[in-house]
Amino acid sequence: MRLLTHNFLKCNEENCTGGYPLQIKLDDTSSENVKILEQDFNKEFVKNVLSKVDYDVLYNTAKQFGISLLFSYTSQHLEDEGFLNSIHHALFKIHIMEGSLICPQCHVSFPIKDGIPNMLKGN
Amino acid sequence: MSEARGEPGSGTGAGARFFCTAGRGLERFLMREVRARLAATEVEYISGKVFFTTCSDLNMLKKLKSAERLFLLIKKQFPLISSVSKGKLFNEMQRLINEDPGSWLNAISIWKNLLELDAKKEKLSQRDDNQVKRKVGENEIIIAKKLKIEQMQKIEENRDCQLEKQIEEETLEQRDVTTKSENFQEEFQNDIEKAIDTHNQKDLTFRVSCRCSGTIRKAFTAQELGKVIGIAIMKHFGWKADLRNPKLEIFIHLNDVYSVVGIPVFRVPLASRAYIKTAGLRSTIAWAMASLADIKAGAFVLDPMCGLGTILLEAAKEWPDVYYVGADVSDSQLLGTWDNLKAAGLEDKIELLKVSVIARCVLWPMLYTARFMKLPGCPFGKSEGNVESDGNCHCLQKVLILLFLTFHLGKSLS
Repeated sequence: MRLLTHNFLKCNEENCTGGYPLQIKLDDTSSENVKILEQDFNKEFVKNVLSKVDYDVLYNTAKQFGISLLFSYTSQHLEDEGFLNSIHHALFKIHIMEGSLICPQCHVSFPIKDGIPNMLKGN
Repeated sequence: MSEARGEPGSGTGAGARFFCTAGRGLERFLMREVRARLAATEVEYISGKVFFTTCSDLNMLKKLKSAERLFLLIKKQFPLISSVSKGKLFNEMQRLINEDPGSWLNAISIWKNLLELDAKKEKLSQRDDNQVKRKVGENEIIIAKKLKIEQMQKIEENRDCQLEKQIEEETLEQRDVTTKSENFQEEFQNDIEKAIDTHNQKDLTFRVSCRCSGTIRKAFTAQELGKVIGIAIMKHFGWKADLRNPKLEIFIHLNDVYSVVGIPVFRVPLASRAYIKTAGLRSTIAWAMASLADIKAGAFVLDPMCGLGTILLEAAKEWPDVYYVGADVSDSQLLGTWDNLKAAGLEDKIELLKVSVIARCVLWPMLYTARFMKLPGCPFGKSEGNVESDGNCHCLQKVLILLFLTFHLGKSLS
């Protein structure tokens, strides 16, 4: 599961109103709970996707994985390849393989197994 | 679709005349596709078949996505009248050849030219080492499928074309092809070389594949009719029949609307994709559905009930610069999708989620458009339209309700 997908997921528990963003908890017992996989960089595509994500959520989540993005950006930054590359890395190359997503409000936990988050397990 | 007398295959000058078989309801998609992809002209259709003229080479023709099979047209004319005596009918059939043998020879030479051109291109690209390795990989899949489908084609030869049966039968599985790959690689090349290597036309071996439907089927079997044509071909051109491994295959379809004769351009149906390991939905329909979504670069596309991911695979191949998400409620289906993604090399293009469409939505509200289009034959509902999201995102539920209403209750969508 990429950080891009994480950016769009929320808790669906009954009566939960504040279930976004979900907190990522990695599975420490697993040997490979995060993978970094190469992906072709497409400038226009990254710009397009960037306009659709919640940037604050991305910034905070990327920090968790040791990526420090710019706190905020302007339209000038959109032409800076270095900036776009960092976005590309954060959004597309980090794959969370084993862990769970935890709702900040109701603390329900959605497991991630083999990179696929299971949104059915409202516990 | 009235025609004057008969319609021979045209020469290479203005392009060659082809036809494709297509599933019912997909003709519209195919017509649009041949115009867009192949700059086809003189495009027309009769139920189940789309006819067109194009100058494109095999590479472009191979890319057709909404067609079942592709043929070079030899002859298309008015249907044979089956209410006459056997003798008269057989005479009619023989006239298909005797009347205009030029169109037969013409089509065959066009076919050989196409294959020659393709073989030359293959040889050129095989000089590059990297490409050879990739091709072996591709060919493994193509050839494993080709073999399986050839076996099925032999069974199907004298039956009517029934799409439902094909869907059941075509559960292609990836076997261990590493040992077979070298042999198959050679065979594949040999096929092309065999077809080209007929300096003397008399060397040609052929097989007739006859399909009948409608009233003619009630009076005669496809086997009988195929035999009549076969004998007439032997008499007229002097070729030998070879039922197992012919160089040339002749395809004849007779029904109440037309009589069509053609040469299949590829042994493997276009509908069988090299990049789909395990098919869920039929690939042609999956592609057609994806094309309805009007996907543009940079879009987000969600398949909330992706099954084995067939629609997403077709979409990702055609529109690559897009963020695809597949969701399903079943673990085994998701595993199957993952397998398919790996086999196609598309794991970096498509994300997977385990989601239930009847549970509350897990997607953070974002504006979306769900497009629906009534396909011909669907008896109710508006023809087409968009469903726009509102502030409260219940998108997955909305999609489900839409489907429920159209298929189960027959309600009109407004």
